[in-house]
Amino acid sequence: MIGEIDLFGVLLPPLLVWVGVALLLSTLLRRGLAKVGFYRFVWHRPLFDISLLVILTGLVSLAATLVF
Amino acid sequence: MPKPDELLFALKTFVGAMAAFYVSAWLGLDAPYWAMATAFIVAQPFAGAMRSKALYRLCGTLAGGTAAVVLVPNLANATVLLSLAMALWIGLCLYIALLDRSPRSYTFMLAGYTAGIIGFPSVGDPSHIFETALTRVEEISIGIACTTMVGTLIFPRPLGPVLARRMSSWVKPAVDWSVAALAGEEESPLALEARRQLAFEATDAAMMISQLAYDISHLQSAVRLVTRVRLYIISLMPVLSSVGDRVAQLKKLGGITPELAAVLDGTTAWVQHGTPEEAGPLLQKIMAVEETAHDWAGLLRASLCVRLEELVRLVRHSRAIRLHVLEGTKAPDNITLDADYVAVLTETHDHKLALLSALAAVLAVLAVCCIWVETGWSSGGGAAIIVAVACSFFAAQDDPAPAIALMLRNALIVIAAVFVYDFAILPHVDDFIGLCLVLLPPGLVIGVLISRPATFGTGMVMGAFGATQLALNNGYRADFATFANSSVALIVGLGSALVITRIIRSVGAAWSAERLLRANWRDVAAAANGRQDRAALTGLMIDRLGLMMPRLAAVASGADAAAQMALKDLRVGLNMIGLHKIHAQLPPVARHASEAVLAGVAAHYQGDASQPPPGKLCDAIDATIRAIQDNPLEHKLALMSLSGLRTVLFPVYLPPEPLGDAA
Repeated sequence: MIGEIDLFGVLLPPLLVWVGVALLLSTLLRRGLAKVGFYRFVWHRPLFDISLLVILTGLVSLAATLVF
Repeated sequence: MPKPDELLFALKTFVGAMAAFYVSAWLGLDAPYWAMATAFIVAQPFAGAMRSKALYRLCGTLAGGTAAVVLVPNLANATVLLSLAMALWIGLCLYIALLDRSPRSYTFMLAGYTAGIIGFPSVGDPSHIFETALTRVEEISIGIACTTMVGTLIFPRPLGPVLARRMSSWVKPAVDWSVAALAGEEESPLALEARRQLAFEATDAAMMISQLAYDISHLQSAVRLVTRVRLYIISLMPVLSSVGDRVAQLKKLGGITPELAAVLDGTTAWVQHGTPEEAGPLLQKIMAVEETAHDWAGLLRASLCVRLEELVRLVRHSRAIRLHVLEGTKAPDNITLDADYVAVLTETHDHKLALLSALAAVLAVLAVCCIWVETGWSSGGGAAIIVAVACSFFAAQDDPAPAIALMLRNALIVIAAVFVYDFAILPHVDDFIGLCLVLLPPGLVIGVLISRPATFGTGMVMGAFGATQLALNNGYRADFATFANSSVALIVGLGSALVITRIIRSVGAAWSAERLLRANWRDVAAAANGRQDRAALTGLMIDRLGLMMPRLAAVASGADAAAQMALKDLRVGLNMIGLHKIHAQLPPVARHASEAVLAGVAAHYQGDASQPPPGKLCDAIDATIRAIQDNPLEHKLALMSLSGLRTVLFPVYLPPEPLGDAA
């Protein structure tokens, strides 16, 4: 995926945008997981969170390639 | 010898600092050592503390950079005005920071002296101020990112378990004190110790609770619950004090009925090892105690039962929450106990002392700026930065001077070490790996120092000063003039901060404790005049009690007596609020008498309340009680407040004479 996303004249690398979207999604997901007490079973919360972010970024960019 | 976990933390800190330096240098930023210094400043053993400080540092840097960009170009041609504006900005930020006693205050403090750090060196060449500010913000962000990444991902130390242990440690003093109060033996050594501990913890735990929100353990989401427990502990203190007083008086009068004794025993047993579920039957038993006698002992018994009910409810709620948070039992149905005896969280603010600190900072910065401008010394700006930092950093302490003196000592050690590195070691280093290796020993020492609470400040100061004095850059350029100038600037800055702080800012712990006590009296007088709210008064006065405890412990052996007095003052205030509320509904004769009570208490607390209250006040209280005691059911609240007031203020007076038979 080479190319740039033109946001009102500001050119952004696509990865930055995908990470932004993934960050938003992961925030929502983390809130939900914390609410149901999921984190009681997680050994290393930060590691889990960052892995979650990487996976979501991967999914978002995959979805983006499929759509565009 | 450092323990393994301290060494691990030191290594993590060092890796974070070097990574920050490497990334900044790789990006070609101007002063990569800023990122390195930030890594040392933000490093803290507990993930929650570190992450919160990182966020506060970022916000503070942004605000300070903005201020510098606004101030410097506009006033660059008028040096005197610029110095004045900078000094005032630093003072203003420090003032705001001191009014916020949470860790968040770091943001405001930093906003102050960051403006100096960016602005002062740019005075000669204001056209590049925006780039300087931007570079600083970028480098701080890189430093923060590197440290938090390393600190959070590699063997992080969650704050949650520490706070959980701390929360469990509240149980013992609370139970000890309750048991002593229920036995009417509040002066036992165990109870005194328990009171000291609880009062200190109730205030001191606030900081850790606020950092919990940034933690990485599952307790992160429990901030609200832990705060509730802290609130209940605060509310418990005046209740325990009145229970203890009443039981002691009743024992002296021989007024404990078998029914009441059974309830007291039941409560004692439940407080020691009862479950939250068992509280329901106990509460019913307490409420079932019916009081028929209208004499003084009867009045005491009736009000004791009200207090017992409050005690049991508070303990039940905190117990249920603690079990839920620590052991994962079912959440209590309603964590908020909605009653008027539950305090609200309030923090006392000492405007005068904050202003004095701000004034000291402004004057110190102006003095150094004066030297700078008059001598035309090229590194005068550096000294001005240091003086601003030193005056801000310890401003929350009663006497910042010893801490600044220690900072000066540490700075001298740093200067010696930097001298060795600059001229003996670094000339032989020509790549990044070599740099890491030669910096590893001091880096580890600093890291270990930071990991120990007692030397935390020393380590942080050495890391920050070391990184900035070394001023590493891409490539080696040792220059004795630069080294000498920045070292002299450091010493001049710290020295002037020390002198000016000693002259105008240093106050003693005894003086601060006295001020807190007087502030309490003012609030009680305000309560007697009907200008206080029950929940707020409890929060405020227990907060002050927590601030008083360490200060009193530092100066005198009479700390317990003073703590006892502060609690009594609080109870006077609470009773005054109660009396004020129903004052208007009293019959005319009683209203007249109770006005004398309110005015008498207000007058007593406006003067020196450490003196025994005038006997006239006791007469006024008795007169009011006599006027309404025929109608105990209708005037229950008034009788409670009045009897409470009399118990606190006149514990040694005989029970009011004509009570017993309707006079």
